[in-house]
Amino acid sequence: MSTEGGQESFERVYKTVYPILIRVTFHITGDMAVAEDLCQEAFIRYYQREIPFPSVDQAKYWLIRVVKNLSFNHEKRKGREKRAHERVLKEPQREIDSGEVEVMKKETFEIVKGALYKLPHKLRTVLVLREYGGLNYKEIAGILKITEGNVKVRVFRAREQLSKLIDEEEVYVS
Amino acid sequence: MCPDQQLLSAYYDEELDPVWRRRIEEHLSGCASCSEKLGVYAGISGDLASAPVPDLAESQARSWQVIQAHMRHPVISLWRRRLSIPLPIVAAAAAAFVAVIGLGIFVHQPASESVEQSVADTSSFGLQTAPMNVRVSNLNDIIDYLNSQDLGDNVIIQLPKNISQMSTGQPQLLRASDSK
Repeated sequence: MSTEGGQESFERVYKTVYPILIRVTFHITGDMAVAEDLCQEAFIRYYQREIPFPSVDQAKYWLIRVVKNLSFNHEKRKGREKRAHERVLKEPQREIDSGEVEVMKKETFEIVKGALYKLPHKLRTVLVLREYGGLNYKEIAGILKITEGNVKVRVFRAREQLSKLIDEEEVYVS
Repeated sequence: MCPDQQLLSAYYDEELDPVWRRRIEEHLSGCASCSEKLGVYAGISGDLASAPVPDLAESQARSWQVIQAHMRHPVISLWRRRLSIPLPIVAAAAAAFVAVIGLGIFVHQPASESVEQSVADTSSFGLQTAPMNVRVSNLNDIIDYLNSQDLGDNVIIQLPKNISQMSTGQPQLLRASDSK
């Protein structure tokens, strides 16, 4: 994509797709710095591609697929690091003082955010693409290379699990 | 009878065809439980939408700077980097490679001669290398035979090639030799 036209087209795709890409990535990873890194990596890969996409939408789907894969790899790596850290420290979990319960009361969005990151990556991804990406089942199926029926099942399961997790959290802090 | 809850979720996302949508709507008008479920899905959407998002415009400008910098000075990993090597250097490298291989073969040949020499030398020290065929039926016969011969310290016993050894054979041999 080294031509002037290529540069213009890249800028157009960047301006159009970046807002949705960063929003989706932020809600999948839960960390803005990580989301920015992954989005930058995705766009750099997009820029290095030799074959252009026929439309901005196709470019968007490709970029979302790249950040989805990057975020999954990031999460796996983070999980391994966390487990290794825990093995090294082997510190027992601190008992929660009843006096601290008041301090632990959370805002609704914090409860939802916490519950969202407890979902398995593949359920979280479809829900985030649906709720924050505004994508329909067909688009999500195309991005994740799964069937629309599978998207329907995953969205349903994600909602059910999320609802259960939010209920548990609200009972705990109230 | 209430519909499958997956259908309710798909209805909420407006993913059902008109026929199913109408059926669900008819059902919802008389079912408090499914209406409540639909309310839960709407509540989840509302909760998710309430989560604050950092300034995206700022993020977009920041990331553009990083990507532009990368485009001006791309960092290409070692494995993806293209190498252009002049032909004389390739020829010189090939010649050097052939020379090293040739030297290796040349150096290796005298070594094999010296091994043969050492074998010859050992035979000249009086080691008897010619095999002797002795028929024995058990371990005791072998030990008796060895005691009766003055064969020196080093004796090589070669077992028949077609011998079949059971898995228990070796410990029995060891026990028998230990008891002697």
